[in-house]
This record gives sequence, C-alpha cells and structure tokens, in this order.
Amino acid sequence: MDRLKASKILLIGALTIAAVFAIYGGLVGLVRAPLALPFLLVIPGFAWLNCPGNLKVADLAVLSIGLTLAMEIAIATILLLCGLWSPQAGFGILLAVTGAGLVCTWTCGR
Amino acid sequence: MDGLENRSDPVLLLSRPVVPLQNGLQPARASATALAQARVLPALLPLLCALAVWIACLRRIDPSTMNDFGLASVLPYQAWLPHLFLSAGFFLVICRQRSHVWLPCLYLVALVLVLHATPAIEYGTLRYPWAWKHLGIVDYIQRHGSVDRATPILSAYHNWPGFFAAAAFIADLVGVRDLAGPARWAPVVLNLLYLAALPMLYRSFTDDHRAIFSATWIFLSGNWIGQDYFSPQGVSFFFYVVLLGLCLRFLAPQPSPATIDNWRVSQAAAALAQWLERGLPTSSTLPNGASRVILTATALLLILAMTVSHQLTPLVAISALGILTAFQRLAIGLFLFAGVTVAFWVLYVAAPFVAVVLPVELRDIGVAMGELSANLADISVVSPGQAFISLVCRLLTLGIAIAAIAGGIRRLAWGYRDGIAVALVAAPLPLLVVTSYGGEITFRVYLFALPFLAFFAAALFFPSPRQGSPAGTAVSAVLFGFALAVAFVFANNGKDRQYAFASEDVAAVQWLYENAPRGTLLVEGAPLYPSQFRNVEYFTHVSLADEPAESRAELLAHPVPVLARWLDNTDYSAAFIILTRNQQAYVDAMGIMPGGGFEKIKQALLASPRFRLVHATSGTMIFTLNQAVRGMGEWID
Repeated sequence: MDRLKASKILLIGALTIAAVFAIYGGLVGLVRAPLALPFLLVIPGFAWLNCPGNLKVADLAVLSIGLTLAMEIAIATILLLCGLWSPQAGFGILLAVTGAGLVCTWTCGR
Repeated sequence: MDGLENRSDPVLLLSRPVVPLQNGLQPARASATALAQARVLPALLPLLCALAVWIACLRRIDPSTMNDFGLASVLPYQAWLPHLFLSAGFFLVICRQRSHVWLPCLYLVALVLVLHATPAIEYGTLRYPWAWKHLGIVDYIQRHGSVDRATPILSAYHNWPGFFAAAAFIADLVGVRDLAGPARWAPVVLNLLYLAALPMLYRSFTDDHRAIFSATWIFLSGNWIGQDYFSPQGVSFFFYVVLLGLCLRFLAPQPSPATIDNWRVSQAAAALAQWLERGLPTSSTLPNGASRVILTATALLLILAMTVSHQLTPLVAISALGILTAFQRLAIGLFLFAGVTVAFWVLYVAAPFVAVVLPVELRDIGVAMGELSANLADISVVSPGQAFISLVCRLLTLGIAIAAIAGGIRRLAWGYRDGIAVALVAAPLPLLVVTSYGGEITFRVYLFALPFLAFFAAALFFPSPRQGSPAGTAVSAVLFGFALAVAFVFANNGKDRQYAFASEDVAAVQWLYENAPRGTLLVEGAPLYPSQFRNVEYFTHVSLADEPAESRAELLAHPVPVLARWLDNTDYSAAFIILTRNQQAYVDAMGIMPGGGFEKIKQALLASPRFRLVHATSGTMIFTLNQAVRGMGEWID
C-alpha cells in the first residue's frame, strides 16, 4: 500500500472517529457540528471513491460530496418510508457503508 | 479504439500543446517557474481589491430602504466595483496565467461570495418564501418521523421527500433543531458545488481551461432564476451536473468492434456519432473492473437521489441519458434504470399525488407550449421598478442565448461539431410540451439548458485552444463578464423587497405558528411571507391575492363584512388574518389590488370594532375576530 493511500485511509478514519464521538458521545452545542459535518458531507463517498485511482483531485472532491449526499438521501428516504425513522440508526448504516468503502480501498489494486 | 482516437483530430493538429488542467507547473524550466510565481501577486491584486471593497460596502447597506428595484436599490455605487475588479482579474488571469489553475478558481469563489453572500449577510434571515415552506416539511419529519403522502397541504413535498428526509437526518445528527439560520447560506454552498462540478462536465467538451472557467463564470452569473436556495431542485441540479460529468468523462462504453461489425445500423449510427463528436477531447473511459463498478454505482445512486427528491430533474436526466445513449457515449443500462426508477416512483410511491395531478397534466399537455408568454410578467401592469427588473431578466437570458449561438458558430468554424453539447441544450425542451409546472416550466428549461449555453457562450471568446488570447478578446470578455454579473444582481435579487424578511416579521409569524391550535384558518394577504415553517399541518392557508377576481372585487368593496364572514367559520378552531409588508410589496408591485387595495383592507380592519389586532410589528399585523378572542387561552392577551 502506498503512502498516499495510507494517508487517505488515516484521514477517513480520523474524521469518522470524530463524527462518532460527536454524535454517539452526545456532544452538544458548537462543537458537535464541526466534528460531525465533514463526515456527513464527504467521507462515506470519499471512502468508496478512493478505489478509482485515476480521478483528479477536483473530480474526486465533487464525486465524493455527490455520492455522500446521494447515499444520505437514499438511507433517509428508506428509513422514512419504511416507518423506521431513526437518524442514529441511519448514521450506523452510513458508518457501515464507510467501513465497506475502506475495505474496498484497502484491497483495491493490491 | 478508433472512435475515441479520431474524435481528437482537431486537437492533434495543434501547433503547440495545450496545458492540461491539474498539471500545475508542467514546464520544468526553473526560470519559467520563477516568472510564473512572480506573476501571481499582481494576478491576485484585483481579487484582493474586490474583496476589500465588497467588505467595506457591506456595512453601508440598509435593506429596510429597499424599493421595487430590489437589492440594487440599496447598494452604494462602490458596491459595483467588486464585479468589475473580479471580471477584469478573472479574464486577465485565464488569458495570461495558464499554469496556475487555482487562480481562476479563487476568482470564481469570490464571485459566488459577492453575488450570493451579500443578501445572506445583509438580510439576516432566510430569503425567499418557498425556502420557509421547505423548512416546514423538515420540521414535520423531525416531529413525526414520517410523511403524509395523502395530505393536501404541500403534498408534492410529502411524495418526493428525499431532500427533506436527508435535511432532517443531518440536522438531527448535528443537533440543529432550527434550520432557518444554516439554510440562509444554501445559495452560497450550492453555487460553490456547481462551481466545483461544472469544470468536470466542461472537460468533456474541451481541454481549453479558458473556455472551461469562462463557461463557469457565465453559468454562475446567468443562473438568475433563483432555484439555488434551500430546495430539492437546488441539490438535484447539482446531482444532474455531476451525473452528466460522470457519464461523459468516465462511463463511456468500452468499444467492442465485434459487436459493431455485426450490426450495419449500429455501424452507421457510430459513424454519425463520431462525426458529431468531432473535436471532443478523449474521455477518461475506465476499463472494466472495480473502478468502473464503483462509478456506475455512484451514477445509479445519483439517479435514485434525484428521483426521490424532485419531480422535474429526473425527467430531464432521462432525456439527457437518452441523448448520451443515442450518441453511443453511454451504455443503455443507466437510461433504462432511470426510466424504470422514475416510473416506479411516480406510479407507486407518489400515487396519491399523481392521482390528483395527472388528469390535469394530461388535459394540459401541449398547453404550456402555447402559453410561454403567459409565464412572463405583464410589464404593462407591474410597477416601473418590476418592469425594469423583468426587462433585465429577459436581456440577460437573451444575451447568453445570442452569445451561445455565436460561440457555437465559431466552434463550428474551428472544426468542432459539439453534437452532444447541442443535444444536451435541447434535453429539457420536451418538458415544455409535457407540463406547465405551475407556470414555471420556461424558467426550469432555461436552468437545465444553461450549463451548455454557458459553454457555447464562452466559446464566443475562446473557441479553440489553438486560438490565442489577444487583448481585444480579453477586454471583450471582461466587459461581457462584468455586464452579466451586474445584470445578475438585478435579475436574481430584483424582487427582494418581496423576498427578504425582517427578523421581527419572522418572529411574529413564529409566534402565531407556535401558539395557534390545530385546525386554524389563516387568511393571508399573499403567500409572500415566511409561512408554513412550523406545525404545517395545523393550518389552512387562504391567500387574498390568489382569490378569483370576483371574490377579490367583493373583498375590496366590503373588506370588513367579507373577512368577518370568512373567519366566523365553525369548521376551524381558530382563525386569523395576517398582513405583512412583503405581501403588500408584492400585491402593489404586481398590480394585484389596484388603487392601494391592500392598504385599504389593512386600514378597514384596524378601524373596525369587529376585529382585534392581536400581534403587531412594524411590518406585520395579525388580526382575529374580537368575539373569538375569549377562550383562546393565555397566549392572546
């Protein structure tokens, strides 16, 4: 695994842990949003899009945000329409999706 | 691979190589690098000047004195200097500083701030009445954890809840209960997203970074129709641009000569598509494998997210994907997936809404096409200020359209065919036949065509990487960019006397929404105020401005008895009239109640012993029947 890939995985891990700490740790006020938002806006998509290694930085950023928002819309809509509305559970699903993306990044190109 | 290689013919003829994006300091010569670095500071100077003047001007703007010319009427004359500095700096940078890709990006970010952060900072509250209604749906989901697909109140939103569900989801996770504050910044955030996504799309059409960034500037200044607020369509449009960029850049089908050889028709179609695509840069088509699977899954999710969030965007996406499939730039799978997903959603999930709306839409098929002019403001009726704003909107649109046609002709003369981009301009046109979309369809068609119109308009100045950047071109581009940015302020913010709300007016409405009981009738002067953002299901809204002409005439002749009769209705547990300054600005500017009718109603209610003013600010009055006050509880004193 090259150094760039390792640093990406570290970044994803750090921001994921920060979001878990903010959301499940019950933080309130001004600290919670800055810790949770980077994960909620970028990371799940970024975790998956690390695999296509030939994306330019700008394309990677746009696609990561687009994919993350699309995932959240899909998860939130499914929970809503199935009568299972629970943002905490939805966050758990996002974490699982991010974990799967990390595994994909880890194994991709090995 | 023949097709892919042949498409690049004109590029192969270049006498000197084009500096590709993202390659940064490609020339290895140290002297050239040093020279380029020495030029950075002067290149940043107009940007820094623009930001300094902009910040200084922010302190001198008083939105309360706004007239019918909107935001422009309260801007000091120096506030137009940032537009000039940015335009001059931006176009000079893209003409002279090819090696620093981040420089034009900084200018574009600054343009977004100047155009969209000014209202957000100055008004201090969420702009645009529909944004408040969207907060109401988020509030509903946060309180109930569900939607009511059969409700008649804002029913489209309950049937396409994707955006609202995600907003409620994120708001709950970050611990924000009131989204009105963060939503104020939605236009800035959305335009930054468009700014990031558009170059990915434009790189499918050209390698020339001058054309790519100019087209982005033209899009940002030409997107005056105001759908870039806290809305499903704002986010769905971002998905639309990303989806097209993804398909055009990375998901072109793998050439399969064996298949093509077997089908004479396919061969002919491929030859035609190849001719129409002449001059396009080679796409970064991914080989089959994990990368392609992940990007295809991304495209599928984007289609899904659009489908559950908005009615119109997925229809345009189907049309655009159909075009790409026809041009053999996309396998048919994504097009079919989009069609099936949208059909499933419309016919099954959103069936309660569609059952009501579909018969009307079917009856009106083709009508929208014949009534395009009916969607535009009648300049003979509206106030002089609004007539001027309407004129600017039309001139801005026309200016971009004419520049696009001229730019398209220049590209043609340089040997490019641009068949896909031309077809994508036309992708939203079928909507004109299918739906009127509440009279808004003309504007929505313009929005979906704008990214490609902007590309062709940019080609007016930079048709090919082979063409240099003479001073004349740079100056023309500066003037064009400046004119667009100035016109944008009039066109996008020209109705802000109606759309910008004072915080005390928001507080008055909030007081009513948080205290009035379930089953309340709320008679409003017009729907132009921050409405339906709390407890949306508690209220039935009746707008005086939307009443039939006979009903309005009766109301204007005898306001007190008519309104007393409406409010004295036992079907409702409480009834109120709300009249605000924004409603009055709208009614007066649009000529809905001629002869100061709105003011007459207000004065009649104030003078009548049958009505009681239960809450008032300098811009909002809330009345109820005097006889009804008893028994309402302590919240009404």
